[in-house]
Parts: sequence; structure tokens; C-alpha cells
Amino acid sequence: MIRSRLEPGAGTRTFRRYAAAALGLLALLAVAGGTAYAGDEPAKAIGLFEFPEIISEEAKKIDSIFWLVLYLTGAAFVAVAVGLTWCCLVYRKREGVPAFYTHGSSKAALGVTLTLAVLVFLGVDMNVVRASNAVAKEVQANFPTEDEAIHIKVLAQQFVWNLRWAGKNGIFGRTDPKFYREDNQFGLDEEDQNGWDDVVAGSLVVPVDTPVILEMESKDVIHSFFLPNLRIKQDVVPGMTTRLWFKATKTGEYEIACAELCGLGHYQMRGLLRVVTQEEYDQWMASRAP
Amino acid sequence: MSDSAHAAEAHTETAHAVHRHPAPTGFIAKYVFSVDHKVIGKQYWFLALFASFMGMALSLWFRWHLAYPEQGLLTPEGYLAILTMHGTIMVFMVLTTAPQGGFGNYALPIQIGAEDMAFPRLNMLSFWLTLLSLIILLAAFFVGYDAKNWVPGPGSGWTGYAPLSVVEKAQAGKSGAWPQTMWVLSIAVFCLASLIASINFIVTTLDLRCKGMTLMRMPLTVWAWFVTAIISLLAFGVLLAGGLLLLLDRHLGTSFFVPGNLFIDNRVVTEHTGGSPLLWQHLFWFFGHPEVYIAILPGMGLASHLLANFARKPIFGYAAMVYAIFAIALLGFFVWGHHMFQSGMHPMTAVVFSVLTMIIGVPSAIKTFNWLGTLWNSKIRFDSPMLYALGFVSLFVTGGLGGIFLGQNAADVYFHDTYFVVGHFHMIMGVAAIFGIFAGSVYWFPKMFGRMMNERMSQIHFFATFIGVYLIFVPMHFVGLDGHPRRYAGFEFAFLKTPEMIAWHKVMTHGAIMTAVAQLVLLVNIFYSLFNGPKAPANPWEATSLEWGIPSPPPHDNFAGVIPVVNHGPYEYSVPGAPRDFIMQTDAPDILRHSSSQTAHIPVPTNTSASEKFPTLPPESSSDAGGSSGAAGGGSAPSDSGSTHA
Repeated sequence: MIRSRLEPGAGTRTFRRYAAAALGLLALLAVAGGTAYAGDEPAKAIGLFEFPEIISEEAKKIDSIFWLVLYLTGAAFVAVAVGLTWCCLVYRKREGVPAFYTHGSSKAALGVTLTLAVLVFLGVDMNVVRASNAVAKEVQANFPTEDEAIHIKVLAQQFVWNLRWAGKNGIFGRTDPKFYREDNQFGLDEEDQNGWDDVVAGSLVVPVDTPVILEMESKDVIHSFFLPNLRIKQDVVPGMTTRLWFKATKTGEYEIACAELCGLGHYQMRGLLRVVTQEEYDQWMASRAP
Repeated sequence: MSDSAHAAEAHTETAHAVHRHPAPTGFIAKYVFSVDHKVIGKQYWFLALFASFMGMALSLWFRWHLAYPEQGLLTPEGYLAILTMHGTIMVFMVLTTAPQGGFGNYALPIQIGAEDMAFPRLNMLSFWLTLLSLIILLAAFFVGYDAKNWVPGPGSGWTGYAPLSVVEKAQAGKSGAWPQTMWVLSIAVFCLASLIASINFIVTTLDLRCKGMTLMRMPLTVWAWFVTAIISLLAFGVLLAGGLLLLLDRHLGTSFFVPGNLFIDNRVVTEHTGGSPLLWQHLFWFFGHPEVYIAILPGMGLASHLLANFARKPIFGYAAMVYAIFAIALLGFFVWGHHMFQSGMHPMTAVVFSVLTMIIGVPSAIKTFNWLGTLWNSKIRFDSPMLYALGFVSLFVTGGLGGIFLGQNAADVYFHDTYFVVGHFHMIMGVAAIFGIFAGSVYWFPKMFGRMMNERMSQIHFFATFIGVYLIFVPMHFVGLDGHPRRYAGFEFAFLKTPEMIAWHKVMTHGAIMTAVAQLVLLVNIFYSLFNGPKAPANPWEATSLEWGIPSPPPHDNFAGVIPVVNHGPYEYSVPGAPRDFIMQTDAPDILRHSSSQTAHIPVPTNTSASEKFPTLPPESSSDAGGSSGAAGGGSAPSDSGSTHA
């Protein structure tokens, strides 16, 4: 008994039994999982790609990169999985048949390897990167011009998003950390008249179909302004100003999350994005004006 | 096994004796403060074993909390502390120690025919520093208390981003005080240990190879450890610098990472001014990305080694494998920016990092292709080391392909810091590397402890773990696709409270429990086999490399004072005309000529002409293939060496 266990390749016999058992276990898990986890809404619960609702053109483009990569990597995954399984099935320990002796260093093997490298590099890598860069340029770099966009300042703190509009005169008031108070989260300098009409709010209210530029700063640690429905996020780093822009094309209320660990209340740092019509926006702005 | 006895005989007659240091006597000198690389390798291995179960227990704790948050198993600050400790323990104490410090220390000197590492005392120092680092890290569990409550660790995540990791009051309770300091100190000490170890590995590989062990005859495991050591040397220095700067920022009032005018705990922070939080991120990820390869390269080397061993076939494209390891290591130093696409760098900087990241796909594809090429037309033995190696290939491919999504600067705008990232890096750096560790453990266990592990338990462990980890980490990708940010201690958002999210969190937790139970099987297997396993022969896997030509376990100075001479490449399996289906590296150079095709275990293809009857062994030995009796150098071995098997 012990002798047989020491025999090289003895594992193969055990393997057949356990591989079958593992397949059975997988099937069992699939069935049990399908029923146990599905709950009341089975169709929803087993969805694999339940992205948050898209509310901008740019978000669609970001998703398109995901799908492009999914198709390419999916093909590669299937190829390798099939190759691996096929080899394991066909080349199990075969009595009397030796393995084919090759070092794979022949010109042919080298040619195949190099072709593969070039194919991966040019066919996959460079194509995907090119597509991705084109989208990234649009989403992250090509900011709308200053006059067509609405400017909003974001001041992140543990664990709140503070938002500020320039108000009627279109100029933001001066701020200074020494004025930070419970009722003056932005630290507005009261002597600066430009700040008298600044609008401060807790939720991000923007008109639909209008570009918005966010200028973001942090009071304490690094946060990350994350809008799942717009597929964008940008770290908000103390000591520097980061910028983000978007143009929402659908009215509604959406959530703003923090995506960079910022301490105890990281998971509670919830903001609200309200995309409204231009009229509603104007009314809201008028109602908030001091 | 008679084969290995012959092999051992072969080198006893061929080389000269060198005793570098005598065998120690007494328990302490032998097993505790040992300078023997084999003992140090085992010490590293046990340290990693302890740390991995520690890290796994922590992960179960918060995994359960995430599936059943209403039970209140963890407070938010407790969650962050446990999360940080899990990440730090796993990355440093398991993924960095076991593959390199453990197996590298144990097997590298033997595989290249050395009696020990180049600097045995430095080797011992690096282990004890690593242990010190672990103790300091574990201390972080206990020092985070004040009058009201206790926080079991720092709350800054394993990445320790400043200013959260610098300004004490930015964290809840006491987690920003002593626990955070312990965390930085532990990492600094660990860096020191790794730097010392890396120099040792590099010098050993370059200087202590035995006669005939040319660079291109080294097993791919040795190549992987060697390159990993080079990466460690270049990467850990940077993290050490970063860690020291962080300590200075925390305790001596410098401001490398903290800008001025912060407003924390209801007051303006006046102690700091003018630093940059991005500087820490650059330093950290300049280490952090190569660290991924420090964890995974030894696994790649071992997977190659085992695939050839158990497929009974030479590794496909040996040279390409070596160059691919170097390419991956080199490129690994130029892609750290892909961890920082959203950090506030100029968005177009991302283009460079994105392109470089994608280029890593090329050597990775070559490696995968060559692994499949090795399996093609082979004769696979499904012993447990092979299963883990195949599992490694599977997980490496799955995890690697996930990285292609994240490497796209456009897609990463959405995926950055979501569970997609967590799923990805656990797949490749976590589980794939850990399957490499499993493979190494089962493969070298007979050599390390002189006893075989229980094959049944190993196989049960393999299948349960393989299914379990896919159950944990594939759903993690799906949750990430839905936008779930990582490091969330609770579910306050509407988009996180969908039935789908809740269901996936439960699947992941149940997968984790299943995986954890499977690890108990491994633990039982290890400790049962340590004492009760069947005695291991010298070469239980019928492998070719040098460690299998000496007894299990090996004598104190590995080769009983007789340095072997290497005559063959590392992967001579199923050579036509050979007396058995493997030629050990120490076998006689003319082993093929002394066995006729009648007695040969491996038949010679019939269509070859008489002059080509015996195939040409790889480059180094091909020079004497057509020659007379000339055996290479001083390596003339008994002519009937190893022909008994057939």
C-alpha cells in the first residue's frame, strides 16, 4: 500500500477520482447556489454585468473599452482553458507511449513564439491601448471651454462632500483655513465681497445636458470623488487641486461615493448628484441665493 | 530508488571535498540559530505557514462581516484595522517570505551544487530580522487602546497612503497612533531583511555554481529566484526610504508627505507644511508593483519546473522562458503609475504607463504559450505538485487577463479602487502565488523533511481550494463591475444594497469558508506527514535537478563534502535512447551512447538514420556527441550509470 503511494505518478489514479468528485461538487454548488442565493428576484441576483445606469455619452465610451477588452481577453481565456484541459485529457499518463522529446528551441518553435509575441503586441496591446487612450483623452483631458461649462468647487473632508457655486457674479469668494467653522465649512473670508453670493450646498445639483467642471480640494486626507453612473472618479488630494468634468444627459438622483480610503467613515461618505432641467436648476439657484 | 543512488554515486567519484563549516551540535545551534540554508529555509517556511493562517483568519473575520453586516461583528475602525493587518501580513510575511526566503533558501544552493549560501551569517540575520518584523507587526494588534476602546491595528490599508497614515487624529480611536508606527517600523525592518537576503541570493547564484552548471543549465526555479533577488534589491531599498521618511513625518515633525493647512480634528494642523501625498504613492508603488513580481516570479519558475517534471518532457523554449522572466522583471519597474491613474497625476502621463503595462502581456503570453507547449504531446502524471502547478497556470492566466482591464487608463477611471481591483490582485498575486507555494511545499516536502505528504489529502486540498478561490474572487470582479468601492465597512449606499450585491457577498463569504476548511486539510496533512508520512526516497518524483540526487533529507553540507559535476541541462525528460525517461543533471555525459536501443527505456524514432541514432543533447553537451570517448572535464562517471531502470 505504502509502496504504491511512493510510486511516481501514483497521483494520477487518485486524480481521476477526485477530479470527478470535484466536477460533481461544482455542479452541486451551481445548483445549490442558483437557488440559495437568488432570493426573491432570481433574474436580478444572478446578473453578472449589472453596471449602474449610464447617464452620459462619455460613460458609454468607457464601457465600450470594457467590452472590447472583455471580448479579447475572453477569447484568450477560452483558448488557454481549452488548451490546458485538452492537454490534461489527451496526455494523461499514457502506457508505452513516451512524451515527444523537444526543447521547443527549433526555428519553427521560435517562429511561433515570436509570431505570438508580435500578434499580442500589435494585434491586441496596441489596438486596445489606442482605443483606451482615445477615450481617456476625451473623458479626462479634453475639458469643455470655460464659458460653456458650470464651475463648481468641491471641498472634501472626513466624511462629507462640500459643494460651492460662484453665485450671480460668477466669482468665487476667497477662502482661508483659519475661517473653517461648523457653519463655514469652506472657510469663506467674510471681508471678500465676491464670496457674499456664493452658493454652498450638500448635494451636487446640475442642469442636464450642460458640461460641468469640478475643481476639487481636500481639507484633510485623500478622498476620491466617484460617480458610478458617469463611470468617472478622481482623487481629491490635500495640497493640490484636481479637476473633473462631465455632462449628464439624464435627469434623476444618483449617488456620489468616496473611492479612496479616508478613515473611519469612508463607507458612509455619501453624496448626492441631482441632475435637473435647466429651469429647475435656475429656480434652485435663485432659491439658494443669499 | 536505485537511480538516484547511482546518481549520488556518480558525483561522489567525480569531485573533490570542500567543508565550509562543520555540522553544528546541540539543539540551539542546529535548529534555532542555524546558519545552514536548509534550516533557514524551513524557518522561513514555518514563519510563512503561521502568517498565512493568521492572515486567512483575519480575512474570514471581515469576510463574514461583509456578508452579514447586521450582526455587527466588526466596528468600522475594527474592520479597517483587520483589513490592514490582513493585507500587510499576507503581502510581506507570506507572499514575499515563502517563495523566496523559504524555497529559494532551501533549494537554490542545492540546485546549483553549492554547499550553502554565499553568506550564511547574513542569511541567518535576514531570517531573524524577518521574524522581528513579524513580531513588531503582530504587536500592532495590541497597542491600539485608550481608556475607552481598543483598535486591533492601523486603519490606513496596506498601502498606508499619507496623510491618513501620518496624522494621528485622521484615524479613528488609537489606530493612527502606536499601531500605525508599529506598521511602518515592521515594514522598514522587513525591507532591511529582504535587502540583505537579496544580495545573498545574487552572489550565491553567480559565484557558487558547481562545475558544469552554466547559466543556461540552471533550473528555471533558480533563474526565477535570481531575478526575484535583483528585483528585491532594487525595490525594497525604495520602500525602506519611503518608510523611514514616513517615520520622520510621524515622529520628528518633517513634512515629506503632508501638505500644509490641513484641517483635522477641528483644528488646523500646524506641524506640517509643504509635503506631497503623491510622493508617498510614487515611492510606495515603485516598490509595490515590482513586489507583485517578487511574489509571482518564483511561482512561475516552479510551475515551469514542475510542468516539465510531471509532463515528462523538456520545458518548451527554455531560453525564451529565461528572457521572459527578465523582460517581466524589467518592465515591472516602469509601470508603477498604473496604480495612480486617478491619483492626480496628469491624465496623459497614464498613456505611457498604460502602454508599458500592456507590453508585459507579451512575455506573459510567451510564458503561457510555452507552458502549453510543454504539455503538448507529453505524458502527464497528475501527482499533487503537478495539480498545483496546473492550478497556478490557470490562476495566473485568469488573474493576468483581469489586469488588462485595469491597465487601460480609460477603463480604470471606473474600475480603480473598486472590488474589481481586489479580485484581480487576489487572483494573481494572492492565490496564483499561493498555489506556487502549495506546489513547492508538496514538491520539496519529501526533501525537506524526509517524508512524503499524503497524496489523497493533497488532492482533496487542491480541488477544494481551487474551486473555493474561484468562488471568492470571480464574484469579486462582478461586484467591482457594479461599482462597489473597496474597503467599505458597511453598506450605506443604495447601489450597494441591491439583491445582487448582497447575494455575491454571501457567495464570496461561503467560498472563503470552504477554502479555509480546505486549508485545515493541508495543515493536518503537513503535521501528520511530518511524523507519520512514509519515508521519502531520494528522488520520489523522478526529477532531474541536483537536489534529487542526494538523500532525503540531505546531509548537513548537502553533498557530503563532494561537490557534484553537472553534465546535462535541467529538463532532459524522455530523451530518445535514454535508459529511463529522465537524465539527471549529474548523470554521465555519455549516458546515451552506453545504452543500445534494445535496452533503452525510451525508444529511438525508427525513421532516423544510423548516424543520427542518438539525438543531440542541448547545446552544452552537443560538442562531444559525435566525438570519441572524451568525457567533459573531470566528470568521467561510471559507464553503466543509471541503466538499471529498464
